[in-house]
Amino acid sequence: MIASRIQDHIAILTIDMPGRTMNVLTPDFVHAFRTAFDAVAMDADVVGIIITSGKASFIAGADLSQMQGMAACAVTAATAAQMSAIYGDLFRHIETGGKPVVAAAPGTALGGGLELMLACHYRVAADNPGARFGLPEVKLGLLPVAGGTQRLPRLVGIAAAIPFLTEGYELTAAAARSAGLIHEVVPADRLLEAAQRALKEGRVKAMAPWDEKGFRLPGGDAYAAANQNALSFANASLHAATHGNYPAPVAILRCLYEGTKLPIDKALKLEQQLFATLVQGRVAQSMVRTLFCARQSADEPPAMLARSLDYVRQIGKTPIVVKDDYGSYTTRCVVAYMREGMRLLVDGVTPPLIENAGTALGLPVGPLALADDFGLDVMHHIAHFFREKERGAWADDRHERVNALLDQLVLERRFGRKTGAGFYAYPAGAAKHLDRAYIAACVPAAKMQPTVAQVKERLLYAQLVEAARCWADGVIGVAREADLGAVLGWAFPSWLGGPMAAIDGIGVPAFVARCAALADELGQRFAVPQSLRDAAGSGFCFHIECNRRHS
Amino acid sequence: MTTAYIYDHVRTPRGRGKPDGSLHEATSVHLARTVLASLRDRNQLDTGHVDDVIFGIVGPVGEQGQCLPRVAAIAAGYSERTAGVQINRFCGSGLESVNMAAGKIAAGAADFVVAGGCESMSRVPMLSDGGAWAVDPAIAFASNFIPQGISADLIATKWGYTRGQVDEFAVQSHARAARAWAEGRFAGSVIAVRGVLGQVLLDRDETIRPGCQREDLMTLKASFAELGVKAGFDSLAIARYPELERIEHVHHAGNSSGVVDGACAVLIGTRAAGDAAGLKARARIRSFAEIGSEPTIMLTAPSFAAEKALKRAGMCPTDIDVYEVNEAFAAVALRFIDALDLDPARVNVNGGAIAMGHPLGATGAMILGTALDELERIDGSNALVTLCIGAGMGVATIIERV
Repeated sequence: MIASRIQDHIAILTIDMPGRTMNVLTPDFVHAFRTAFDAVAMDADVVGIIITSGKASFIAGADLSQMQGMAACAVTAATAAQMSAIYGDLFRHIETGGKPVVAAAPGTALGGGLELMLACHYRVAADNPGARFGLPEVKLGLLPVAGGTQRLPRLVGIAAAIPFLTEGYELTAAAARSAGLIHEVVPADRLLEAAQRALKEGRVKAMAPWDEKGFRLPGGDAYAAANQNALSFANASLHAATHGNYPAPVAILRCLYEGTKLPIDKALKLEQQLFATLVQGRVAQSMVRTLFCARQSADEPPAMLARSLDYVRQIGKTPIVVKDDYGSYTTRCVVAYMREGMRLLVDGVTPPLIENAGTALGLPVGPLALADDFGLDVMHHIAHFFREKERGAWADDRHERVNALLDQLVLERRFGRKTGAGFYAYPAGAAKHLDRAYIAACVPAAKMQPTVAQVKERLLYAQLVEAARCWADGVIGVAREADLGAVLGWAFPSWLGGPMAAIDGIGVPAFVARCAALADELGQRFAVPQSLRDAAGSGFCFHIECNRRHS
Repeated sequence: MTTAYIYDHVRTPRGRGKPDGSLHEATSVHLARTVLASLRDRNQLDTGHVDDVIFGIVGPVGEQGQCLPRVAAIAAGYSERTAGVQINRFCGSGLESVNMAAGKIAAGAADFVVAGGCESMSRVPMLSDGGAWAVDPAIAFASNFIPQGISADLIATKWGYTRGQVDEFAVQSHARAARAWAEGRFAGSVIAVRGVLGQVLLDRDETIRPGCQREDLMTLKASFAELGVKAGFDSLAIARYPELERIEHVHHAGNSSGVVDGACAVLIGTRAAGDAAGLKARARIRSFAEIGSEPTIMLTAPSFAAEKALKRAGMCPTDIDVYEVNEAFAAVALRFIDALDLDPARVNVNGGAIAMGHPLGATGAMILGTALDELERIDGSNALVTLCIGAGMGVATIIERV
């Protein structure tokens, strides 16, 4: 795994994990690397160390299959912090080993791979056009746990660190150099030479800037004017964008705000503790499983962080096996969302409350706006089509009142955005807005309005019940695929993992019981299929390894 | 419980809170000692009987740090026996200082207390003191923080105050303040601030625009629209108030309180202490109240604080002859008037902070003085003074002429 050689008193450690196209961080790697590193660090003959990769890329990040272990039932938060600490501790060991260390990256370094580079005293990258440098952990509901949230602001300041960590974007080698993350970018065939030259010319200190006496955070502390503004802005924009559903962004901001005030070793511990709160939480567990693990076939090597985070490539490659039935899985579920939104309207719930509940849940738009964009004529067609296929009290309750509304809209040629009028009005040159006057004329407002939590529940359960029906109908059969298909297909909130993960999260028996209560209170459309009711008593979960730990 | 009486009050004029403002060269301590000295001199007060000076200062950092009121009392030549303390209840501090003084007197712990406040916003700008509320991620997320301007726009949206209405209110503030100055209604209470050679730096509120019309305000861009959208504050407001589709942004510099420099001092004491000093009491403090309320909409608390103070006094809104509600933003005052179903002719009759400015730590005491002067002018009995405050607090005081 680690090849070690010494040339001109400089040790070169080359990471090359057998059987993988990219290097990833694993506990085995930590053990092997530490042994190799210590051997050269303690060698009096060695004046400098280069860490490089034998592959086209440097290190793609941590092997994410470890994340599940950190959330297993018997594992406490303190233990999870310890488990994740092995990488950060190794990197700190490298940083404080007493010899100057240069990271020489032939290509991509993401997540823990970049964190290893940041713990080295000098960083060189090859001008490989495909190389990407980033800390994308936020996209999985996590944060960089091997020092990334602490070394980055100590290099570039708090304000610059905020977007890099909270958006998780990836930079080219040149951009990483401009941003101050990498010292040098050189032609690929000169990579080792540049690393050796830096050491021989004495340009590499055996000490990180933050370990030097008198170190000051670039750009000042959290209350320097620019940082105050950046933090206030980020607090609000991330809170608004996540609707409070995703814990990772606030944990990352806490790492920045609280960690930068501390000496580096205390700061690294804080980072590990905040990571533990995330990795054990349901959101990260759901996101990691759905977004990372869903594309599998037996021959493929375990999924790599870099590839799994690229949605665009995923959509092209992911085969969701769907039985050809009266409606595809995604259509049935997204229609269920819109249908319940219209039912809420018919019930007299104030329209902004309906729409805001949808976005608060994490859907990109409210059900009425989505219906307007779909086309209310299309909705009308679909509604009657489904009406013909669905029978029973649950179907009657589902369709009758909403279809009457759709009939009226279509009669008046209010097809939504395409005809410039629907639930929304579309004035020329101005933002669209709910057509309150029209809606009030159609439907009287209810005296008692529900809470936004109640509206959210109805909108969520409408989708979950439909997903459960698709499962019972054999339209979907693999929970991970169903979850990924939901997130990619109609932007089902990824913080829930997917509909199957969401039901597992509620607990199948609790979900069935709640649906029964909703069916009694609101209508039989919330009744779940008999097969799910039957399965509820037997400990059934959609995900075989369903994880019961709650965030 | 000992009744607390108001004997006198004095304030500096309000100078524009920018480097080109007329009070910019006056240090904060100088503003404070100016009002302290004047209060002593015009009442020939033996300051050995003044137990404490309580001043509101909302930016107690830099030259406004380190217990400025005590330092200013020393600088004003007060008896060394006079203590001093700085308090911060955000924008309500000036009135809070009056309430705390009244509390000390009611408890029998003091004979004379000087309450008031001082703020040089041109020398120590707002937010100089930092503060965790918006900046600490754990706190900002948990408290759903939005800036006050967005809260004001949220109020306007929720209760339907249009841009036209808030601008009209602003015009009225200027017109009433201009009239008050023209008629000398502040003459007894405003004192000049002087410079090194004794020259007058400022003797009038300098931000009033006498001929201000709606047309002048129409062209001003709403101040918080961009912030509301880009920083997500509008979304956070709607998350708390999901019955709203969007936030209508109507506030701008012209219909919000002005940033200014100023100081104020109010002499509060027992009847016995006043008699012994040969002073005539002008009013008594009948009741006061502080309250907390929903922090995101933040600025609706004046009516809650007023109701609490009225209830404590066994009074109802129609018992009050003069109302002063701080014009932090026009919608705040409009909402206060509607919430208590008040006659607008009794509210802020001499203009307010939109015209004259809001020197944060001092305003509460200043508008108390304005209310007292107006009671005397119209031979009225009761006044209620209230201010909206950051993080959803409110403060109110009811005074009765004696």
